[in-house]
Amino acid sequence: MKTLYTILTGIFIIIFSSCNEKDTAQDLNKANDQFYAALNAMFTGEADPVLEIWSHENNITYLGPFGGYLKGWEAIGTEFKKNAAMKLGGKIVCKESHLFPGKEIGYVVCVEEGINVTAEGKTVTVSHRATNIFNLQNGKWKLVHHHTDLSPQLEDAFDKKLK
Amino acid sequence: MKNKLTLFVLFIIGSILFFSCTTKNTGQEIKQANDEFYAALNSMFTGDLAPLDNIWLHESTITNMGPFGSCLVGWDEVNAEFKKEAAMKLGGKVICKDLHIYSGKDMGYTVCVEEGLNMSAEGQPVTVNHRATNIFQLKEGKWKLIHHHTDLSPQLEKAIEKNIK
Repeated sequence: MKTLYTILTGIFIIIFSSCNEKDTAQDLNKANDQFYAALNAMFTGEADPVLEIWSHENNITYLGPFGGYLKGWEAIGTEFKKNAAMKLGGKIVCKESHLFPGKEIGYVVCVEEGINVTAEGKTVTVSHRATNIFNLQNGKWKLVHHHTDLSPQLEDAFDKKLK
Repeated sequence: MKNKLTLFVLFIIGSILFFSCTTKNTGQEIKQANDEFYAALNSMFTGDLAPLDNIWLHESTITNMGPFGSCLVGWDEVNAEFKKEAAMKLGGKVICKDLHIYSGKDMGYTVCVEEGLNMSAEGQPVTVNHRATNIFQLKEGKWKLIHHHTDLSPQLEKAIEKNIK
């Protein structure tokens, strides 16, 4: 009888752990999707969704496609508000994504592909690699780090607007 | 009653001190692992791959997005790339400047600007200056590298193009 209980407990633990890992990955994937939906909303001028997905801590970091190395919510929040005001237009998607979920920190890598639109209405192709790191805070995955490769094509196209 | 209250207060103070020390130690350990990674990279530039082999986690889920482009997934792909780079004996040295550490209980990351130089196929120095993200995971008491992302480096790619292809 004791053996039966031990086996049943073991099976229960394995099933529970497996479900838990699956849920974590799904939640992380959902947060990542939310981030890209928020970025696309930002391109239309709506800043709120992207401000919502970021953690508002002072130890978060951002390495964007225009260069720079921003630390802390104050600097990062300001940057994203500025980006939203530019209404870059277009849309990007996160392709070839790879997820690594941890207990409280997880990350996603992908290739950001899509287009943005210049002030003159010309489309600019976007294709760069990205790393997104999330931290589980009060039951929600919040973005704590975003790194994209530098994008010379974006920098050339939006040079005037950024400076 | 008084004794119970004293014990409770001591317990709270002890817990705060314990968690504060743990967080500090975790940050220090991640910094140490990060230092180890950059020392290992510099060894790789001389052709010695062993330290780099030691700092990376050897699992199928790890990822590497280096200065020459592409996204490598899993130890087999990552290791093959580093073997190729070690064989090139790029020479030179890079350091991790303006370091930022974000530490969790079993995962953490560092951000920095990799600065230094490598040597071109013709022996000319090539300046390296790009942003980097490194993610570590605590495995059996040791912090192991599970992801490395640097900006693309057109100057490095151009300088050692012949060696890569």
